[in-house]
Amino acid sequence: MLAAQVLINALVLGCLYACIAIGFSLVWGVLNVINLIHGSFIVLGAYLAWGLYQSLHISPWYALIIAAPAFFVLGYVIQRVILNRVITAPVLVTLTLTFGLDLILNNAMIYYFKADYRKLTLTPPMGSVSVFGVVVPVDRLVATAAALALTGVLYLILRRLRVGRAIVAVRLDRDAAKLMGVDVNSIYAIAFGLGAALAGCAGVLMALIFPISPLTSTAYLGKAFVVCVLGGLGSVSGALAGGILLALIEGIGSTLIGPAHATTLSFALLIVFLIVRPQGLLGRKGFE
Amino acid sequence: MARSRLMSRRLNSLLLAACFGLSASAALAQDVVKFGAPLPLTGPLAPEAVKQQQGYDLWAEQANKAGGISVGGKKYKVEIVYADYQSNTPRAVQTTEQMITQDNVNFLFGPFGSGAAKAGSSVSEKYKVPTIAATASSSQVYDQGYKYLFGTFTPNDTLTTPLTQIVKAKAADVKKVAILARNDLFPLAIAQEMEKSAKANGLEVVYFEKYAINTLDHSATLSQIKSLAPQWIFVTGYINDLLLVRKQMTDQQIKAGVGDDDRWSCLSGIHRCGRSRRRKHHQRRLVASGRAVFRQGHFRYHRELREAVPREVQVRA
Repeated sequence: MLAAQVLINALVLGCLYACIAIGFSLVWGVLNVINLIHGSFIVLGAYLAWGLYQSLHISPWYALIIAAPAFFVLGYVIQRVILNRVITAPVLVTLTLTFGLDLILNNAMIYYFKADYRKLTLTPPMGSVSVFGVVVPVDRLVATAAALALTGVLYLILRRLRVGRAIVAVRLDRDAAKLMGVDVNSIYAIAFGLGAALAGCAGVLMALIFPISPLTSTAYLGKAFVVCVLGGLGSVSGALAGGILLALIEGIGSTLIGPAHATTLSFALLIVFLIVRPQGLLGRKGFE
Repeated sequence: MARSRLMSRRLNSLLLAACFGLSASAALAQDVVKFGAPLPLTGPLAPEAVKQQQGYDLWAEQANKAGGISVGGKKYKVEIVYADYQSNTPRAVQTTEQMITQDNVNFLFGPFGSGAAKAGSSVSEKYKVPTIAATASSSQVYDQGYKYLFGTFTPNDTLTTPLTQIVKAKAADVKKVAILARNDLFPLAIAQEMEKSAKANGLEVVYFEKYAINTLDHSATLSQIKSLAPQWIFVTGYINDLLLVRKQMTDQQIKAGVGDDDRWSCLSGIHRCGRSRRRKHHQRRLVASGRAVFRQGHFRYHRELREAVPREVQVRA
């Protein structure tokens, strides 16, 4: 019974982790940029959902429709105007740049929203469903479904659409893609925009589940980082596998050796992966 | 109002004691008494610190409205110097030192919470600056033999012991307690006191674990606690932690037994809750209600524990 419950908890949480990590993974994989602003995008998305619900009573499900294009534009502009200037520089330069952008955005949020914690509470609450004594909260279940749907959409974009193939081409070989007539700078901006849109949508979903504060951005970023390393960079299914693996390790570790050591265990696993399998669980060059 | 009066009266009397007793000659050249208050105004403890700052401001405003603090028959205006140490304890120590050496404060309000207050107290002790640890209740802060450190709270066990006794007297079906503590000085210290109080009162502690600071999810922990079927769940932490745990307890359909079944009681960052088949009968909450009555509720809590609680507890078990 407890084992089943822990397993279900981990599966649901794993999908949420994947949702947090997928945009981060895409940007890292395609642009080779470790996008430290990702966590703050998620928090901004959460505030968007919270604000729309509080002031206009717009359900978070509709907020997804607003968040995706809004964050795409934000990401596109940031990449076009700022990041593209240094995109060919060594990875440390872009890392420092996104670190600076993150500081600006995060502190702007602390200034504007205050550091106080907020909670988006739906009325009436969505409650939980119980099957054979295993309890699953409905909001997490719906968020999991939405996370899977977003992942599926990204997979289809990369696989079916012309722009998606161009993104994959740029990721595989920048110079060859350029020779084939792909506008690399524009593709970079689109990939970063997609990453931001996924972060914004993740934020909207997280708003239902976790307390909202600018200070949680580092927690999200940390999870995204671990998931990417475990699952493999830039791979859609890798993010999913990494997320579920991380949640499983945390859940089982927490049950067997106590919650204080669950984090230790997950980071120990991270180190093992970096040594033994640096490409991650499903890491491959290119998308599928 | 009553609360602020109580607070300002307490602080006034303590400050006066400090003035006369310790450093009457330290800083009275000008007509202003300068207080330093290093606070975690940003970072994870910011929500707490902002409320704390409002409390200090209220006191300063009231003290100044009354003409200031009287020292040796002369009135001195109050000025509070704030600094943000970003919820980072080593930085709290640096900030404390800066306030003493550069801002030349006469008195200090210690950094927030037991851990930071203890760390900061070593600096203020070195420079012999009287310090009120306004938000520290763990005995580990006060057993250092320091002469310039003063507290306002009663020790942690004065919170857990009466609480346990009340629960034992009024809710006889409570036999098993689960304790989950944030791995941080105050939350852990009070959880350990709770464990002692529970054992001393014949309750069985079926679960005692710590969770890491910045834990994002408690579902595995709560599932395990649920499987142990305790009637009383005691979780310690700060606002973010308790919001999260409370939400996840509802998610996991863990129902309240000691208190209400839907609302929750949270005192000084303590969350009490339990599971009971007869929860319909448990309509009265045990102590104060509130979404997140936090450390600032401490003064009120002690008053309520003395006055209101015995009347309010009507658990018809």
